[in-house]
Amino acid sequence: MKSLPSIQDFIETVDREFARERMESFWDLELPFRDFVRSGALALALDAELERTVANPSYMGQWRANQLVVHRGRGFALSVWLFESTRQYVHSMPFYGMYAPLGTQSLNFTRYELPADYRNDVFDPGKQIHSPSRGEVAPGEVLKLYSDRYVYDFQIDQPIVVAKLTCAAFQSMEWLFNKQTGYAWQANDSEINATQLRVAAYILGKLADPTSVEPLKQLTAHPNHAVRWAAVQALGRINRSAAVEKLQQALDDPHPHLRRAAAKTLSQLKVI
Amino acid sequence: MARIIETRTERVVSVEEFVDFVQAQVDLSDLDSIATAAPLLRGLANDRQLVVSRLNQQVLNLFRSESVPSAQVIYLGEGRDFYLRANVWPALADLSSGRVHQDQFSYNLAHDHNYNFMTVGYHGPGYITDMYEYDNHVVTGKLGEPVELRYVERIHFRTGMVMLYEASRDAHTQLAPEDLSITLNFMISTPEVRLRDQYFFDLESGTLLDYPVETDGSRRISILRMAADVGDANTQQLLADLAQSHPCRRTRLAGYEGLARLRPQDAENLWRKAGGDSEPMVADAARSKLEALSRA
Repeated sequence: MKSLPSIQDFIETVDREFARERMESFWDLELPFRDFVRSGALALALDAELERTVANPSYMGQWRANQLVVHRGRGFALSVWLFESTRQYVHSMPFYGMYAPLGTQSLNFTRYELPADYRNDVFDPGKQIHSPSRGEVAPGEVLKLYSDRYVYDFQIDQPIVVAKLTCAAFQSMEWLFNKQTGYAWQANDSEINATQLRVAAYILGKLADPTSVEPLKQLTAHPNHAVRWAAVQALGRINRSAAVEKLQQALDDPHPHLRRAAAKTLSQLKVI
Repeated sequence: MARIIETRTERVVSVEEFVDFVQAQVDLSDLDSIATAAPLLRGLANDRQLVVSRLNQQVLNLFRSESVPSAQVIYLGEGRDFYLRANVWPALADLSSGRVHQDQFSYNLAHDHNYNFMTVGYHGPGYITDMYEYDNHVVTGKLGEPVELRYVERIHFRTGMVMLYEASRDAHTQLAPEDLSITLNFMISTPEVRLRDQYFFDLESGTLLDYPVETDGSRRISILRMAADVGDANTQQLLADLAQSHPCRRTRLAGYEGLARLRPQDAENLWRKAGGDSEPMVADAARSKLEALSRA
């Protein structure tokens, strides 16, 4: 097997140059990422997976559907993806990213501007993306995804392999926009972890065991507003007084939807 | 045929005891042997704190230690070539409220499993399942191919029931339970499982509908496809090795397809070789490719 020194070198470069507390430093990785992509190290990484499969037919690497996870490090991920088809909606991205097509095809995309008053954690179906502009990234070049300002739609005529370097999600939701109208259609958790916590809170509420009160109380302080609200709702199924206390605190929650929901619930409970 | 195993016990079994028993007593390649773990699985379900305590712990840890990338699968423990998990089955009301999402195996979608597993109802009214059988050996694996699914029975899988599914023989559809329900599953993950296909079926037309994308086989094929798109001479040799000798027919076919993309000038020879594959899925695909080449 050929050695793959450049992957480790690149990871060390990212660790050295990407200051997680200063997100803008992610863009300093553009040239190292471009050089890394051009080095052919990712093709060798794919070959290495094949080689292991030849040696052991039931071998399974860090594989997901259409994805090889090359490295998941502190605050960033490096992966290779097979883009198979154009997506139905335009998706916002909860992270900064750099995409580089491998192989011989270019990656075609349309970039839309997010509305000026866009706030990622407050979903609003009245928000509309605008000012589309088309672009093309040649093999070996890098597309920088400024996902706090833009959303991107990729036109996939035939499957294309893309190297992805992404930082950790810094936005809590992934919005989907209708391509025809530009309006927001729905939003999902940007990280599985938030979904796991929301669903866990819901299940614990259904199971209604008193031992869950303390964990759920702690969850009402989670940074994600949907997780906080799921925890308050679950508490309501187990311990009314604990839930009322958290609902009253939620009247001052930073998230407007949560403040409104808390006020409405307290009113229905005739507590306020 | 999936077996409902009558077992009654008041005894509470721990995860550790279950794992120790299976490791010491159960031959994971033998269904009858797997069935001997039924009383212990039932005993595991008698631990009414099992799921609550795991979830409480995961909530306190913010799911940082959870390796399962799903919100509705709760990992409980593992031994050599098997693991235990709790599966959450949302009611339709849970889904429509948006509080819980549907995982990959949607309700009302007929599918088989490429692994043996035993399951016990743990909480809630339980899902309803329509059970079928089919003969895996006559399925060539081509999408749209007719598959004879023989209806067996409808089962309301209630709390306390134990059922054993046979890999690549039993198929079923599940209907959402009336209220959120939980099962505990004893999953067999011997290496050959990774080489076996899993199918979605179209009951109306009686055909093979698709392959789930998140199975080991589908993931492996996507690696071959990516490697073929960016590969070189070294990749060609690896793809040739996989095309000729990998035990999974879809993988062999993906190997030939990748080679044909990397070496279009040799496509005719490659597909002639593929035509000799023992599996109709590969041989028929090769014939189609040769016909297309001769028309071009």
